[in-house]
Amino acid sequence: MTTINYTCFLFKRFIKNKLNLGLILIILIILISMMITNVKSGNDDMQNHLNHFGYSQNYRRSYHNLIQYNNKIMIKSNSQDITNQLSNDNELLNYLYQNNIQYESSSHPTTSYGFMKEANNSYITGFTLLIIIFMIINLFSNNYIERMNISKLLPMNRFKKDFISIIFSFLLYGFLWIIYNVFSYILGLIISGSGSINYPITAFINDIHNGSYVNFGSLIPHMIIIKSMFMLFIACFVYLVIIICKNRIMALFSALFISFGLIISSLLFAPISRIAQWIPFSFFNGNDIVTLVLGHSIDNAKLNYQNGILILGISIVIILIILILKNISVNKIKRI
Amino acid sequence: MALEVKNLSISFPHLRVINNFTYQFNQNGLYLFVATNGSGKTSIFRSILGLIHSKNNGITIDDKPMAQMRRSVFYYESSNWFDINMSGMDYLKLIKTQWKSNVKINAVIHFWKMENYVNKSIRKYSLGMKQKLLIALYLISDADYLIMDEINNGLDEDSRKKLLKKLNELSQHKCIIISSHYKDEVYPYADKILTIKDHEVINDNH
Repeated sequence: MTTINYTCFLFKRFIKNKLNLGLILIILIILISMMITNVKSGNDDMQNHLNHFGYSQNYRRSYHNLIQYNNKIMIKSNSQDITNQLSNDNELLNYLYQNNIQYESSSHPTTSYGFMKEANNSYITGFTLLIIIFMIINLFSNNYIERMNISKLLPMNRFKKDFISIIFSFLLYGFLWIIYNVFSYILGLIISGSGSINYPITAFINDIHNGSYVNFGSLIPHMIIIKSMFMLFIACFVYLVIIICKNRIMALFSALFISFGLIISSLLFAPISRIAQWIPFSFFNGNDIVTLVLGHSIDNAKLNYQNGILILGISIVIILIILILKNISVNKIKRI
Repeated sequence: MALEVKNLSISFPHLRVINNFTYQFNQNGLYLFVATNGSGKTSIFRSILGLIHSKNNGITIDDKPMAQMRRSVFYYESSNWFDINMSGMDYLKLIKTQWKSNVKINAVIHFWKMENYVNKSIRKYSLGMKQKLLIALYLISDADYLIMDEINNGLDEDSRKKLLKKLNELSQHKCIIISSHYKDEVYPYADKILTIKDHEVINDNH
């Protein structure tokens, strides 16, 4: 009963802070503006070529015709770049032909699944991470006044309170992630329909330098698992930062500096990129980890799903041990 | 039953606050702390609750460490501690459930005439309203030991009288430890007076 009561209090504290709702609204506005841009951008080159080969009458036949047309150009072409590009196009068209899937622009998708993939790109994911760190700190730093933890006045076991706080933060992050994915899905559904969950996406699973097309739907379970692990890690990490800093501004500055400092460093600086698989923050974008797109862009094949599970799991355990030790040491001091 | 403080010393860097305070607060009675501003009343309360670090040989309730007896004590230092986005009702429900109290929320709301604002967010409260909510939390907790720091600040004269009457009634079966700027008003109801002079807590005869 006391657990439910404390959880309800946290929930009300979150809901009643208008700033939190404002931040969620900002994400939704960004998604709407992305969708508007995609709709306005019109057809891409591939779609124009397919239209030329009768896409609207029979899209499968148009794939077949375009593949043959590309093959002819490749035979005549002396440019390796053109050959590579057309070969890549043919691989996609073959996949679409065999799986009977309608073509969709990967750079400006408007269907539900296509747009969901875009909504999980690094910028939106990074922005969501920024927002969730702010929300969690805002929620729990209220417990600290003049560096005193006033939540300890509640007649509640410390471990239980820490556990509730971490799970609540985790669920909050999950809720935010679900909100913007469901919203992306609905936006796509309204504009162009759901699209195909089996639409191919570029992945570097077999070769970090050369991408190949993989069924998007088959990667979703792994994406959800690694994203959930990352959410739990962030919930633990931010809670630990709050406990250490005991002050809202200090906690916010520290959490953002550490998390985004490491993310940006791993993207920009080669020495950090080489050890990115040891940095739990590198796994912030589950999609790019599972497809190894991030590993490809920083030339680190070890930045993969398996290492993500391992490193995030170890990091979560380490933080939980620190929290437990901290509580035990505080209890010992009190007894003295 | 008693709240015992053994050899409590409080100091901050380059500042000695309280020296070797030992005292036993019995299970009933009203204990009034009297001292000038900055002499260490709030620090004593904070130390008893474990909010700040102190040196001591034990702060116990019924010989058990304070950390194990949280439900026996209620302390909420100031109305500035409230999250202003929450409503008074949110806090009342939290405290009632956490302290497993049988006191009826509506009775307390009615007693302090809070019906018109208790469901509104605290940011809309005046100082007096916030102070009444703070008092209501103490009453709702129904804890055996109520530690109150300047709780009658911001209240009008009638409300202060009402509060003191209530505290007098509660002190028959609870321990109330209070500090107040309105010393003369509280004095007639106090069973014990504790004065802080030169970092020492002195038990005044009353």
